[in-house]
Amino acid sequence: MPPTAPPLDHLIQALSSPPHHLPVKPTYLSSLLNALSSSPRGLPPPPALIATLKFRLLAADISVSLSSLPQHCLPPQLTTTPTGWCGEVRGAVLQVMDMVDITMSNIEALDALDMATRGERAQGRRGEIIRVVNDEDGGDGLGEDRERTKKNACHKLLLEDAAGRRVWALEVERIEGVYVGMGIGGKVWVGKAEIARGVMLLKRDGVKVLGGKVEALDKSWKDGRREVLMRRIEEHRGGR
Amino acid sequence: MPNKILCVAEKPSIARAVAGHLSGGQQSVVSFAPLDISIFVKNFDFHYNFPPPWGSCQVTMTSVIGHTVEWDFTKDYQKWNSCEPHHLFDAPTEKTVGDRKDIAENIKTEARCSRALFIWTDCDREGEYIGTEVRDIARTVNPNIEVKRARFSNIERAHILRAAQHPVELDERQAQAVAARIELDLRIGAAFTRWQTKLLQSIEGLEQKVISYGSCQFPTLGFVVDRYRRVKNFVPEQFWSIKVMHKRDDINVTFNWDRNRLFDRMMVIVLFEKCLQAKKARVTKVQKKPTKKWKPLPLTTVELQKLGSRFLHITSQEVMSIAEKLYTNGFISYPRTETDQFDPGMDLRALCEKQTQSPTWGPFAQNLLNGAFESPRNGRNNDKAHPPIHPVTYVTPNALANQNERRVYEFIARRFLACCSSDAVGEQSTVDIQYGPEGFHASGLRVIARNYLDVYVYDKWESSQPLPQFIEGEEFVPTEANITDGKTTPPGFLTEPELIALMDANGIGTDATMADHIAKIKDRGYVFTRVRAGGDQQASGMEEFAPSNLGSALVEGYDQIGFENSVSKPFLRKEMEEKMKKICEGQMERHDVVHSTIEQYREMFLRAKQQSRLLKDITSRYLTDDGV
Repeated sequence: MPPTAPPLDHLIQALSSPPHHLPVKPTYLSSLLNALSSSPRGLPPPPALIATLKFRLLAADISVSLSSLPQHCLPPQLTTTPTGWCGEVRGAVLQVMDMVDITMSNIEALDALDMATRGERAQGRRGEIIRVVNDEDGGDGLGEDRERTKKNACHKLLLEDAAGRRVWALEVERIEGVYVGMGIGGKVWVGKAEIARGVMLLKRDGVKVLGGKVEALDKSWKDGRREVLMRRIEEHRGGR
Repeated sequence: MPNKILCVAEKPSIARAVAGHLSGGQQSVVSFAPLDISIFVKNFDFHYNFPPPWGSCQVTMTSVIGHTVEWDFTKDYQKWNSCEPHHLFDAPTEKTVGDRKDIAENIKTEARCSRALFIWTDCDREGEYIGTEVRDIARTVNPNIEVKRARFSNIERAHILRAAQHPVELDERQAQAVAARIELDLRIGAAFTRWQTKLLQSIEGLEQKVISYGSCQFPTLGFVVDRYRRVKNFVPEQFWSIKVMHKRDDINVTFNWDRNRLFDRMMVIVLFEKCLQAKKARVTKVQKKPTKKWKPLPLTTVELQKLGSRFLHITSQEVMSIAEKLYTNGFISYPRTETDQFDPGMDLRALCEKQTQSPTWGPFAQNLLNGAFESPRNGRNNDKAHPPIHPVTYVTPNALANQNERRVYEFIARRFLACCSSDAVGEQSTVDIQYGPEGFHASGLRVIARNYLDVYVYDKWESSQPLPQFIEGEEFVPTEANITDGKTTPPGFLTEPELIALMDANGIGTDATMADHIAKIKDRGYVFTRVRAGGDQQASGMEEFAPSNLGSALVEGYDQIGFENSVSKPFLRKEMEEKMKKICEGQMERHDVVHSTIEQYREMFLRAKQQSRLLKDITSRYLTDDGV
């Protein structure tokens, strides 16, 4: 007899609790388990099962996979009240939809993107890279990369809950795992965060980056990135 | 065979100086039959005791004037219409003596009756190559003549005598590297020049022009165009910042935001309001730390060119020509060097002693000798051929021909003395505060001892306003806090020091040739210069480069033709320079380098030919639409 899945409740409990923080929708979990059972390799044994489920959840769109109960979502006042709302968020799971390093101008971000792209191509050309030397300030090559992110970078993230509500979040303190290119659709658990003027303030002890990404969303974000930056630059050219 | 030795230098002035030192002033001058330029070349006869096995000898010292031998294609290929340009990659070449016949004849005449030939050309790659030219000329009439080389870095008497007593062998490898470069520049330069000139000559405005190509010129031009594009495409963006000010003890202290600035107004407002909410700021750190401003490193050619441009507002070409003159006259050491560390055996104090004569920096030099002397810092480079550029003797300003010569000599002297003094010492105080969720900092500098700054007037370090007393842990309500804003500004066009730095970082040209490449792209009309106006003191008055329409057109054209290694990018030339180095180190043979490089360029040439329409259209567009 093939192994049967542990009871649904157990799995939901395990996944929702620390360190996973993924309050999965029961119906979605069922369909996941069915899919796994009927796959050629069958259901993984219990220890590996949680890991597999977690992996799948991190790669799935939040609106279909995770619970939209109030305790896991953003307060509704965020979207119904005009900016100026102050309050608190406790225990929400959110999906990253966009990220911007606001310590850089758009031109700098475009440069960083181009250098990262050229850097990859140059690898094929036997590792030759133009080193740009700037006499006035040390313009270091910033990149779309975890390694290349400046130490004093400051990001704002567009976060979305399972009910489709969105909020901009500001990295008040640098948070491990946050960088431009971290993966659209990646999940973030907000244990505790203040909201000021409709902006969520992220501090290290209230936030945990869970990881993952939704492949389709991430690809389209990456493909369109250059155009987005160019458009923003053009908007500045028109004057504000 | 009489005990006669023929000595040949690279220039007449060096020959005169060396003859003077070796003969103890007892040389007799015998000019040979003058013919145009050879009016300047004299033969000096004297006696000198060389080390064994030569011993006491009769010496004739003469010189060439740079290259005696020219390389060109054979007659059949010299006319532009004689062949397809790409045939030049393989066409036969020949060496001819050209218009230096009388100089070559002089060498032959003297070599015929000499036992040995001592080469006294400059000790760099080109000098080594010229040495082989002289050797080959001598051997046509005296195949068994012994050939030796004198190694020297300055024209001082002791140095020259030592060089004469310790002759070495000619470095055949360095000569081969130069031969490779000459051949490659000839073939590649000619092929591309002929092709692109013929292609573009039909465009209005370019009818009589020769549109030359050089494998160093184009990447140099590429840097200028690249920066120009950045400036043209620049769009200012607004940023915001938080400033906190506090008045204490009648002093206004400005605290700067740890984040410096952010490009999002809303977020700055949010953070600012959190600060105000906190009402009080708390002092998290108060620190007084000793700090220093490092004295400069020993002087290299690239640094001399960069700083000559920046501090003295003299172009790199002129700086090098002045430096050459100062060297030839025996005032400074050989000015083409990459070495930025002084050999521990050098008597630097003696060199300082010579500078005590100066009415301006003499007292500083004297102070060094009285105990303030400190060993120079060591850089990371040693080309093993020449020491860092330094003054060999003191020369009074009146003995120099013009103001620029005085200023260059002064710079070299001051820099040397600065190397031998101490770092400047100061005390840096910092106060860090936490205001709401945000951190701010204020700092003050107290310069305690200027040290090297007293002689090296080109660096600035001033005490700032002192900070009032703050105590760690104390809290206060800041006098004022507000949001400020600003706009990003475009970079300027490339200045000469920046261009040199880029060429240096990307391996374009050597310290000996960089100034020449820059001069060439100006001469060919690919870039033009103008003096930067306004702005801060250091930047204004400097020359900056902008590409001409033709220059921009060529770079864009070749970029679009899309070579894997576009000729306007530095990769190809960098590779060539690296191969030259390998020849010098014995890791590659000249023939292989020439062959492999020709193949690379041949491929690119064919590609360019296929896309010639594109290059023509782009150039046309630039020249008629005025660059739009």
